[in-house]
Amino acid sequence: MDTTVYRQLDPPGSDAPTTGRTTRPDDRPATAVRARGLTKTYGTGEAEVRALDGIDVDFATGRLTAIMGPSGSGKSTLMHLLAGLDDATSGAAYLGETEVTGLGDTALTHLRRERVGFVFQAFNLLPMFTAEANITLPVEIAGGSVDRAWLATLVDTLGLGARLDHRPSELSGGQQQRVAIARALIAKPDVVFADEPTGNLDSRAGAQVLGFLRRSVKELGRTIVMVTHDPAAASYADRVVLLADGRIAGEILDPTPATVLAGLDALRTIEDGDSR
Amino acid sequence: MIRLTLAQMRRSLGRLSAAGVAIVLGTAFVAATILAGGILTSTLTGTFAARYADADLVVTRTMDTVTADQVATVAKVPGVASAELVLYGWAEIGASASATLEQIVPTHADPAFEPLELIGGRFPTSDDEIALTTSLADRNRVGLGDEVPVTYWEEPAGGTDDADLVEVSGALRVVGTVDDPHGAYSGSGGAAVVTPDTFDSLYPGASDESEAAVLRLAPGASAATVAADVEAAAPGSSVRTTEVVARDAVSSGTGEQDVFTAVVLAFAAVAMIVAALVIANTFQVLVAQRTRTLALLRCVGADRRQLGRSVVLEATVLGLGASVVGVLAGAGLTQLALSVAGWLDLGLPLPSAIDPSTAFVLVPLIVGTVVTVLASLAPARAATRVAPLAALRPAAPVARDGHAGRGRTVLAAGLLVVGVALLVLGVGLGRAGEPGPGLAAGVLGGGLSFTGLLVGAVLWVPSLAALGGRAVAKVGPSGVLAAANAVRNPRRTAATTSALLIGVTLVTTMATGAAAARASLTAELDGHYPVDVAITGTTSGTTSGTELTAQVERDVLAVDGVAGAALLPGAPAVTVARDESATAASSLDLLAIDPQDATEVLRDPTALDMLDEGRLAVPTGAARDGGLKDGDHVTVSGTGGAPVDLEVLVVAVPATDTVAFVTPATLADIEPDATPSALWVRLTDDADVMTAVGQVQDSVAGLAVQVTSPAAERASFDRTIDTMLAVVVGLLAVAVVIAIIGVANTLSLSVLERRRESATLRAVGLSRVQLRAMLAFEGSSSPSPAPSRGSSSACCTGGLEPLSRSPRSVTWFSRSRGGTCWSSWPSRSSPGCSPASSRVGRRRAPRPSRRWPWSSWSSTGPRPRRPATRSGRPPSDR
Repeated sequence: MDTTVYRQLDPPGSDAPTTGRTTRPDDRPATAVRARGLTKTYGTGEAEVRALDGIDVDFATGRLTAIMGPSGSGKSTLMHLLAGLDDATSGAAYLGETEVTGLGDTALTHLRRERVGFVFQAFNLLPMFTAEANITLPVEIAGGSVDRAWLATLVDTLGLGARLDHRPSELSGGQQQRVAIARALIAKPDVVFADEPTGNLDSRAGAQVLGFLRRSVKELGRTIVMVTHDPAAASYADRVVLLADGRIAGEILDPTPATVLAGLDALRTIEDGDSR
Repeated sequence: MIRLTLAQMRRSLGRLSAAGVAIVLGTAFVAATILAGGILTSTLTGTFAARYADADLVVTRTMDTVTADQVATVAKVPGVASAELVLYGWAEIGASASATLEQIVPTHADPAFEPLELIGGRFPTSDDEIALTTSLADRNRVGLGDEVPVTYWEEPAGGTDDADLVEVSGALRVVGTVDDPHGAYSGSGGAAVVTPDTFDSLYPGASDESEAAVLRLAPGASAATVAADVEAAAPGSSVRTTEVVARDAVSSGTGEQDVFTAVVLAFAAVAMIVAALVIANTFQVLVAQRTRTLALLRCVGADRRQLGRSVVLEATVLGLGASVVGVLAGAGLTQLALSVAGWLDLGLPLPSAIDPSTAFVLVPLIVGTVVTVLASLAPARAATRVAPLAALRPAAPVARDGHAGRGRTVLAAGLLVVGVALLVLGVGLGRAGEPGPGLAAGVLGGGLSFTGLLVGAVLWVPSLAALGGRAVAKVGPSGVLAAANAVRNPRRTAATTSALLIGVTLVTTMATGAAAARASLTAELDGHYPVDVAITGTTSGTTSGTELTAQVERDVLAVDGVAGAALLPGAPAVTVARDESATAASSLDLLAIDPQDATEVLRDPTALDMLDEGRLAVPTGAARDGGLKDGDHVTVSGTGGAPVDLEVLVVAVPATDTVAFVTPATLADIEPDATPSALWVRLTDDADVMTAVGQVQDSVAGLAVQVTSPAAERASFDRTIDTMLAVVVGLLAVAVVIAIIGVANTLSLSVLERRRESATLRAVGLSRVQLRAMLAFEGSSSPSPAPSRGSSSACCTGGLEPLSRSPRSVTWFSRSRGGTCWSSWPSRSSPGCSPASSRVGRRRAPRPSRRWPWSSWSSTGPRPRRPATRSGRPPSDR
């Protein structure tokens, strides 16, 4: 079924799964994150719900990939499992060559310190700290020293120069989310997981934040996996992975809002067809 | 992380201060206790040392007294400037009506040994002169040049130890007034100074030896060398410096003070335990409140230990800070008490300012900090269990395990069963006349069952709260919601209740214990003294009982507050011999009392009911001593009349062990010339004991009689117990105040956890007033089991207290009756308790009440300035 939908949704003219538009350092593997047969079920017996049902998917290094799907399609669960925030029922998730599923708490903590960053829908900044302190928080927690040059690059890229001494309450929503992105990138992680990063923003601020996410990928060579159900947001990605009923339902390369909407509509049609 | 911790603390300042108050109260308590103990000891030491004035060394002998001869030898030791015995005696000073027993001391040859300071006149130089402390002079209303009567007692020449002391009276002229600046004689309220000759004549032979002698060193002499030389010159002596002697004396003689300190520290421990519960609750609230922050920290790389350490660090800072404030508060309070005491002039040479020791600073500091840190360990563990995933979830509902673990259930049940069994056993043993083991079993059982109740609180508190909730539910929708909420987190309801339970149980146990102690003391006093006031003819000197006449009885009866009086003829030292063997004879003092009169004057009117002609009522003690049993036949013979055969009747009439009772007619047979030897007086129940007894004393003034007043003694015991009870309740009030802070904290946790829910309720139409009412109802219904439960468990625990002093099973009932009646006290106070805690709940309520209804569906993060809108329509809207 996967294949069918995949083909069906494949926009014309994009036959390769990844396109090499940006250069990426040679020492990084081509695939930053991948899942193999990833399954997550809740409850048992009659009440069993398969949130994820044997997912196989790759996320390329140096790309902004969006995961989309209707509510309950399992997109958030997929991200939680990929990030090692939740346990898989079966299957495996890999970060580079490291299998994330089955890691202990200490190993996961180190993973989060060095190789994974998070951007949240609700920003989750510490209200008592300034923007700069919020950005450098992960380094402080890890007990390391801040890479000043990298911090300057991030601040510059995200346009936060004048706001570093402000507290979150003195920043707009878009600015807060940019601070959160800088925080996620400060440790130069292999991948940043963004959970509905524009969910709490108006469309203008959302567009701005998405632009910054894109710049992080293009100019800084970072890898970002973003969960969203906003087609406009998804259109900023290099590639959109579509999810339905816990399965991969297809993908869209170089998406535009129109192709994403079309893809979602196709999903809906299939679902409706299934239910009939 | 430290920066983060401190920043978080600043944000939670309000809540932390509330918990800090608990620690401040506890540590202030500990600090003040230590400080007061130190002051008491140093005051005692100072008073003790004051007696030796400026002496350098004190000579004592362990088994023996120091003699004048030894002092003479010691005085010759090189380096000793002078040596004297420390002498004092006792004499009654003043006219007989107002005479008081005072210490009387001889003047010192070396003024360095004189602890008293002359402030008027001079020290006595002639044998008929005396100097008085100002207090003594004022009390006797005498000034310089006046004569003051002095009465003392001495052994008659050639008398044996058994012989009565002979009373000697005289009058001495006051030539000086002295001050006692260092409190050397504060224990006896002053002293009188006479010449050594007068002293010697007052106490023949007393000047020859004493418990101690004092030495003054010659200039330049080394104390250590001289001490060694003196010990060599007078073998068997121990020579110590004045300070050392005073310190030793105080440390050996202050067992009672140590007990007092220990008791107060036990209360401090209770306060600290309750404070620990409050701290634990508070940190639980903080951790719950910060779940998202903690989860975020986990997401950005914090490991479990860092989060745990952060909470512990926070507790350490809080504990340390609060303890410092507590120590300062304790110091301030003690200083205030000292200032008040100084202003009241208690006659004790108390220091005017506190002198903080290292222990005073360190002990409360360490105790406060350690308790806070220990209390924070469980919440710290909870903090480490926060999953990073929580940062991504929009306020996941906290699923809680509402059921107690099987281990807890078994443990609680076991403790309860064993505890109750021991309580029952204790009561049984107490009734069986085994008060010792009974008490041990009772105390152990009370402790175990109470621990069981606490351990199992999560099991039974919710059911009680549900019961309370059912009543509240009748009020309306707010009540229904409150009733459901009160039981939905059993663990928290139990935690809230535990703090109150401990406080109230302790107060109740104390109240019950005090009531039992009072009952037991009253019984004891009634046991010793059958009447309120007894007037007896003095047996020594030239007087006899003949001064007790019918006129005296009428005078006494005329006194306000006297309910009845009976003149008792008596015959001293009659011989009581048993029928079968004349050898087993014992000697008793006979008192004759008409059974009719007995009902009027005895505390227990039925005590001598059975007395009639042909019977000899022997009090239990005397019967035991003389080997007499109920129904024994004895022959009683006096000096005047014929021997009379009487049947023994053992009565519970309390009296001295050498007295037995007969009817006047019987006495007339035994001793025809018997004269009245006692006048027994019964006071009305509502009489002011002190006034009445004083007036009775006045009415017999000038007669050679002795007035003893068990009633006065009883009244003073009652006052002491009341005072102690007030103090104890006051001390425990600290713990209860701390517990109430804890209730406020716990209730606010339940409010916090339900922000969204409260907002949802508002969204579906619950008015602000209704929401507030719901929280208030909830606040009042969850802790309300505590007072009632506290009272009943204290009834169990406290009810056994009487066993402590119970020599007879009979009195056990009267005492436990007192206990039961007293245990109703907290129940009376419980209505006063719940409104307080509900007010606490209500105070917390407005916050969520003000929450906008729509916040139930917006995210729980910092609220965006505009209601959330999304860019583009979500696909599902199509």
